[in-house]
Amino acid sequence: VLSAAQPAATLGAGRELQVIGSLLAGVELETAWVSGSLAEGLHNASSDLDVFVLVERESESSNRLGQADGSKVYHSNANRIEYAVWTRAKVERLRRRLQDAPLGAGTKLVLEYLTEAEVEFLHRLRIGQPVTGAARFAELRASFDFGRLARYLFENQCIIVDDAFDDAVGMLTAGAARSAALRARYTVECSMSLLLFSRGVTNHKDKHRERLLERLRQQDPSLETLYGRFWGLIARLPDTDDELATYVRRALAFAEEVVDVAETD
Amino acid sequence: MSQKPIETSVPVRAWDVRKRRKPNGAVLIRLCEVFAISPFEEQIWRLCDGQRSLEHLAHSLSLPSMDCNAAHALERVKAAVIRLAARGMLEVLPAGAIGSGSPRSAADSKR
Repeated sequence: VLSAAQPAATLGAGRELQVIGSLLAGVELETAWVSGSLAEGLHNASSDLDVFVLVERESESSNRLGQADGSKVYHSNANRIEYAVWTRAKVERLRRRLQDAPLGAGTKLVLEYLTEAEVEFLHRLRIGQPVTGAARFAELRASFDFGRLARYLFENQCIIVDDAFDDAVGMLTAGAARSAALRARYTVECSMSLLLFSRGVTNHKDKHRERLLERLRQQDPSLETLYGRFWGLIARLPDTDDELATYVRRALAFAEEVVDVAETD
Repeated sequence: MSQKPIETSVPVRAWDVRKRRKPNGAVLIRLCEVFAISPFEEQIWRLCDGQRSLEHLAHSLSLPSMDCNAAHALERVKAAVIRLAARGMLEVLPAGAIGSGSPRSAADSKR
């Protein structure tokens, strides 16, 4: 199953790849790929290795891995491996859904138009590395418009930023300074995710935001000042109500500046 | 002869208003209130960081491309600021009310 171009060296997960190879042996599949934080260089000691398997249709052999509905199956004999089996029909439906997503309409119809599992599948297809069926994998990946995925994430994140911003305004106006400050800080964090999506990032996991921003700053050093202000805002919250009110105003003003930059990209 | 207060005053964006780009242009939003603005007003909005007087705004807004002299540019800026302030989208503060401690804009940081 593992080809000569197996990604063991690049992923640093040779033992797990051997386990994957033995589990996939005999399964009627079109392609399989490894993905997740390990494939993206964002991993740590607790990271799972995600394996996606594409089958033409559900079969007895594929059922050994799990239901062909995209749901994840934890492989207990190798505690870093999760499987998700997708049928060709399900993937094709997702390709059409992404193509038909109501982008640019300026409405909330786009909010959570795709499911969490679908967004994750798309991103992990984008960053994945094949363990078998490399040509089919390349064909599959080329059939998706990942720029459209980034745009989808951007438009969703705009709605999230707007809701958080308005929450903070409403809370501070009502005198709930602490709640407003927490919500304003969240608005700031969400605005930085928006910036990532505006630059084509399709990893939507909050837990990776910092590492992704670090990479973005390496690509674009002009963002250093902006990042410094971001960190200064999220790292410390004041204590008194007066200071909290000032903090909310500063945080929301900063988030607006980030949105403006992201919208300009 | 001293200048009129409005020329040296410093407009600053209202803290509870956000600007968003929509398919038909930019809008300012305060909770449920939505206020459409022109491209010129959007330019002004972006520059209203509490650091710039109206005179400074007029100078910053690419005067050569406005095809008008400085006095005319200032009149246009003043009219736009008054319109935005009347809707509560901008606060107009006396010169020096905010001072140099205000943060630079993200757009400046990017540049």
